Amino acid sequence: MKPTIVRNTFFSLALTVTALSPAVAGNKRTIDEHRAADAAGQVEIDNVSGRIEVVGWDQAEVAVSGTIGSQVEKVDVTGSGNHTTVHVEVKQSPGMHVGSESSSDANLVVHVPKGSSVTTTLVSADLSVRGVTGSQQIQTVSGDIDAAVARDARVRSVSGDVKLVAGPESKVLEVGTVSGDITLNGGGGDVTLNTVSGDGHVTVGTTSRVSVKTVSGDFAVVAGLAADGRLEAESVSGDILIRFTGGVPPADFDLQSFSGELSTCFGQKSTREGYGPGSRLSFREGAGTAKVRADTKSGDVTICSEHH
Amino acid sequence: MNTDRRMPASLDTQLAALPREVAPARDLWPSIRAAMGTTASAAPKPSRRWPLAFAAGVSVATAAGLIGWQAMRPPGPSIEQATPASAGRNVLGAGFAIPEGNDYLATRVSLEKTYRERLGLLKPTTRRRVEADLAVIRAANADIRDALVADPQSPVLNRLLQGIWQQEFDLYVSVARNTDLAVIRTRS
Repeated sequence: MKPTIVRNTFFSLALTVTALSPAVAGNKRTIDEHRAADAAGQVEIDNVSGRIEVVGWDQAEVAVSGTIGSQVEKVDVTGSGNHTTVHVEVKQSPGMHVGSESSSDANLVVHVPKGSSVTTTLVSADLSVRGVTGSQQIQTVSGDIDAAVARDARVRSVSGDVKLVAGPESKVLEVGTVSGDITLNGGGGDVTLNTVSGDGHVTVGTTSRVSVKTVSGDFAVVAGLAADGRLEAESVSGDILIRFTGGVPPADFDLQSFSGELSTCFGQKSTREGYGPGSRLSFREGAGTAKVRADTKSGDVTICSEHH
Repeated sequence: MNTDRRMPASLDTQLAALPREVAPARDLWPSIRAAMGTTASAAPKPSRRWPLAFAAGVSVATAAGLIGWQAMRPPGPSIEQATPASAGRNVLGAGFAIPEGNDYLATRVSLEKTYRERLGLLKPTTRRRVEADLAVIRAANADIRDALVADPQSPVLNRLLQGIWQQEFDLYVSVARNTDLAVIRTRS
């Protein structure tokens, strides 16, 4: 937790300093917008570049503060019904790469009612989310994401790294990246993780379903599996390590690889397939009510439990 | 939580009961083609960006949905359709059938075109990372196809081939969708 605290403190400090210092701000302008909002409404935020810090608070209001660069036309805070929108409008020159100039940055702290559901769409802006108890949907190209999620969350990133800390009420977590790394702590229920080359470090509670798909990224998954749960992992060349909390679950295990190694920490050995170069490791533990499946082309699969 | 996911046998039964072909309620192609044509000729004029970007978004969503729908169709008797990523490589396998047909190929070409256009909007560092990832996907695709030559019946290779095929589309769609904001939310 320490690195996260340090990072968040630094992040907040940087935003505050940037907002308050005229010397640093240069030709930047200060933003301070407020709008009444539903305590459990929907808040939609978009930003092309810079940073967004979303903070849940006890007030029935959306407040936006921070600075914007000279290329930012304006920040609109609008609403209708229980829906509030924070929209950063950027002046874009033809041929200009998105987020390539700091003058198009908007560095904002967005306070939202803590019960809000938040949808954030970014291009190259970084995002931090704290204290929000509603569901979250996050989409970015290259910005890094560091979010605490209390309920369901769906995150898509191209090259930005994704770091999520999920609460016990978080039942659906979906994270997809191209090359961004995924770090997930907490949550349970239904977990879907998908990357091309990003690595994954995942520690979740008891889950009903875990799905991991990667091409070349390495994944380490620490999870409990419900008695009727499913865990599926698929990799081309990335290695997959699965460590079950609470002992080996009562499951049918079926691990297959074309040229990678399959192993467990509790003794089972893989066998060569009869009609090809691949190998397979399949066995049943206990009643076999759950299912564990892993496929790789050349990646290694290792399955362990905290008792082995 | 989806209770069905907890009961794969029941889900399998339900899937087996689904019709093998589902015809769209109406012919979707004229509007898709029109939208893609609009995207392809996207002009830099600020006044036209909103509708063009919207059309592009609709195109990407529609194309992704259509491709997903095609991918979920029951497999044909064999694989025999080289993707642009590995054109010219004739590899046979069993289990996963890459969708065929002019409609699919046209959709794919348009999606790749949108991807290329959107890629040009990104910062060079981000663009290089994405291109490197596409190279990873294509190398993995070729690697799996090579392995299928040695073991064409391998279920695991066929599952991985399907997965890597989907990953390539996901990359195109991800870049296209995630850059919608850059197209829509800017103006000169």
